[in-house]
Amino acid sequence: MVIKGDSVNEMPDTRIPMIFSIITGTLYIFLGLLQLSSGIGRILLGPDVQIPLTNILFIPADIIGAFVLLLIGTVFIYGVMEMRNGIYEGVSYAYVGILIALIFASIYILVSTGNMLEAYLLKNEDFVDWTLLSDMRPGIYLAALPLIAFIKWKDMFDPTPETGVLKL
Amino acid sequence: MEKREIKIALTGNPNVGKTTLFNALTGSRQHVGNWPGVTVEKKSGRISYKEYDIEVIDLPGTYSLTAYSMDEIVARDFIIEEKPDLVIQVVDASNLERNLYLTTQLMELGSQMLIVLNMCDIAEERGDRIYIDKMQELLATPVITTVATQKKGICDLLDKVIEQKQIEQHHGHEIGYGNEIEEKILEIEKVLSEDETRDKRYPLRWVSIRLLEGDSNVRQKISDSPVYERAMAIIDSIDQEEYEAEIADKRYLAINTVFPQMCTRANDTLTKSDMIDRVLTNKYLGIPIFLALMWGAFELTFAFATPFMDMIDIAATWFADYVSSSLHPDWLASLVGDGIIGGVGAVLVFVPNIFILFFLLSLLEGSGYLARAAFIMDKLMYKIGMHGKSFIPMLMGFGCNVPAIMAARSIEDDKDRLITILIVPFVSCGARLPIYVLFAGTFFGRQAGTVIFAMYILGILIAIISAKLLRGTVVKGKPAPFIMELPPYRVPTFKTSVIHMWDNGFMYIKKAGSIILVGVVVIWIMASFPWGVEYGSEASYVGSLGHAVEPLLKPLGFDWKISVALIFGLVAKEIVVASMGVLYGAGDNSEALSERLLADPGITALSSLSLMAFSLLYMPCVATVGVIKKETGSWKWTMFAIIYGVLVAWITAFIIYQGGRLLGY
Amino acid sequence: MVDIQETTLDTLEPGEKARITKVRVKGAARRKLFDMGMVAGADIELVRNAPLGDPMDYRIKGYHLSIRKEEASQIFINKL
Ligand SMILES: Nc1nc2c(ncn2[C@@H]2O[C@H](COP(=O)(O)OP(=O)(O)OP(=O)(O)O)[C@@H](O)[C@H]2O)c(=O)[nH]1
Ligand SMILES: [Mg+2]
Repeated sequence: MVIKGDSVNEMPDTRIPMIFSIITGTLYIFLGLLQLSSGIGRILLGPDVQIPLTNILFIPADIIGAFVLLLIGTVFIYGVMEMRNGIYEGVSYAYVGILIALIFASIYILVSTGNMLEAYLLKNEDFVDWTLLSDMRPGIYLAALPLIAFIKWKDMFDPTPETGVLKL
Repeated sequence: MEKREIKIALTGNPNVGKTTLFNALTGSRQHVGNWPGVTVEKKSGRISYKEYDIEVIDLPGTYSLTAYSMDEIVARDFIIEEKPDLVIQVVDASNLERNLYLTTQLMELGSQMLIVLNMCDIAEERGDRIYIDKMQELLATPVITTVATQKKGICDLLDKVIEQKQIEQHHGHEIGYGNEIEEKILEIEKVLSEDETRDKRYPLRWVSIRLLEGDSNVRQKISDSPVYERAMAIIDSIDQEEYEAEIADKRYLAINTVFPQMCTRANDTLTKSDMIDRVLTNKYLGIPIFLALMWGAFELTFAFATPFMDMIDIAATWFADYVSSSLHPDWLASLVGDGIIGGVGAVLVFVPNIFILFFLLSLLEGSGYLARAAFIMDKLMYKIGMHGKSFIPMLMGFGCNVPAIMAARSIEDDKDRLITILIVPFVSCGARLPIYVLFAGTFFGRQAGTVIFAMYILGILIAIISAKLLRGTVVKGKPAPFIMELPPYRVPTFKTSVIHMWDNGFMYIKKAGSIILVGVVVIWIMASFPWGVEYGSEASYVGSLGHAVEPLLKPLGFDWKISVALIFGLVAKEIVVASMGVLYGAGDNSEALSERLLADPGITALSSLSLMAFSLLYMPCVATVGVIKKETGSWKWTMFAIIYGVLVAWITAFIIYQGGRLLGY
Repeated sequence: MVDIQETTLDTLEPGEKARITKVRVKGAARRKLFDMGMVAGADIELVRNAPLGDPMDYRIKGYHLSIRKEEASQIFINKL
């Protein structure tokens, strides 16, 4: 028998976190791969090589950074796989993916703030060409999506306590 | 009016918030962290409240009165032997059932008790309901609710302490262990009571139960009693393991009969903590995430600190210029300019790194991730002959080796603990960081970050190899079982992290102003005398000293100046950098230290690499040696740590330098 | 009737629950486990394995306790 409406056993809906994770995860992985090829390209072919798109997307030739992007992307996609199999706890990956994305974005922003101090306050010669855009990178601008999700988490992802108290 | 004294002790399971409460009560700033085993020593503080002068003692956490590790022994001995006026058991309201196990034991001990139900915010948020009145009635003990992090309930607690002091009554509360055990208890009690000289601080029933449980500590305490043999005869007649299980069972049974009446727990929902754990300890993602986070911390420690270091550098240079142009006579200008500012300044430049490092370590501790790191790494650690819990001191060692070695106290097994103490000094602490930054920055330019990172890895590798080596030779055996509570993740409190950062960072500054200042002055004097020699030349005393040890260090690529720096660095590793500042300070002040190093043909990129490795490994600083002695209680192991360290350093540096030369660098 | 089979704790799969029947661990670890709530009659659930397969993260009496497989294999349970 199916009870409509306020069935307690009904699993909370994971559609929104799933769509969010697919979009964000794919973006992170795509840009991570670009950044990886840009980093490897520089090592193998020298500093003059330009991988297409890297310029307009502010992609630095930074291999470790690329791994971080790929890692974040993988976390999101991993969650999608679990949620698709009907495991509600898969939303955990969306949540932690958001947290890690924000942590690394903050790290990049702090480092960039340091560079800004060098350029404008200390007027260090090494930083004469520095502008606000010099440190722009996917790890920073991609985090806009997780940031919105973080703020809206309660409305978007949380199971509402009245109808969806879930049991482990 | 004379104030009346009350002595109260805070006890309870690990990680329930005892220290947080202690800090809230006394205004202290003791170390707080979200993992079991933060506090390893008893700490005392005072507070004046109404007409009372209350002494509060914060104890290490313990799960029961059977002590396994050093920190637990401290806690237990204090409660049993020093008999505080009031024993306050701090209880985690969100984890009531297990916490009550200790309560049953404390009650058996017959101490005057008070229960503090801490972390009420968490229990409330989760929807648990605790019926305080019922709890007081069932346990026959007053109960106070608090939220230590928000300083809620502190005044209620103090009022209750005073009230209890005035009542001075004593209520025994016993658990029945069933006919068979009770008979044995009576038998032993009877035998023990014949000894008139026995220590009256321990209740007979309590001693009897402990003996039946096979508590070796209590056994030892009555070992010179005339009735010892007879008591032991009873003990030997029983199946110890059965009794042990039965007694524990009965205690939990007692808890289970009262527990449902005083608490209703909400259904388990998927908490944020569960969600985080699911990912951070995921089979495939767990370790990559750990490495990524470590890399992020590393990046932040160095990259974000640069502008602040530059600011200090600018200030120091300006100050040195000002001093050398305005101070007379010349020798004084040289002492202050070359010596003090050059030397101490070279160390102070790294204050920003140290602050960031400790801030990040505190986030690591406060979040609860540290306990997970031990959980994730246990299998690897086991393979190299170590215990997963040793990973916690190792990570803390990145800040400072001294508290890290102390933290090893929460490791139960003596051998596990000894190995941990011996290898923690290889973990690169904050004081060694200036050496890397100076030399890697000078000689490796854009690759500096990689070189510094390599040094950290080298330290960990040497620690791992040493552990394996020690297990195979001098400390034989297998690591003890891993039994550890994993606390829920918490958002680290900003205030705690800032305090941690400030207290530890300030210690670094104080060290620069004391030990390092003295070292720098000594080096300056030795560089200036005998009278009339050129400052810092080979004819000076430092020159002779350096030349005396140079033959030993020559194969590693070190000239006499580096040799001197390394000798003084024995005291504190920052002095290696400080003495470079002093010895190279003779030049033109507008030139930075690194430029002067570059200009010196005595140091090359290769020898600087060898120097970094040598400084990382060669000997723990004086403070660390002191704490190794204190914690191992043995000169033998302390000497071992020193000699082993020097040997390892020499060999490693030799391989780097001579190997590098063979490769044509 | 329920078919009750006695096995050891290390055979539990993540998410499975069981009731402890006997603790056969020896030495100091034995009482430590008792102190932590691993007594006969207690309900226990395997939450997950560590990334490298060992140790395991169990939920018992409402909190998380982690022990190695070696000890878990000496603790007897009835699966629920
Ligand atoms: N939410 C909440 N957290 C608390 C409360 N009291 C303490 N904490 C947190 O619990 C953790 C443990 O606190 P400590 O004070 O170090 O615990 P302890 O009992 O001294 O621990 P050990 O020294 O290891 O025995 C810290 O992360 C605190 O911030 C509280 O009332 N509410
Ligand atoms: Mg504490």
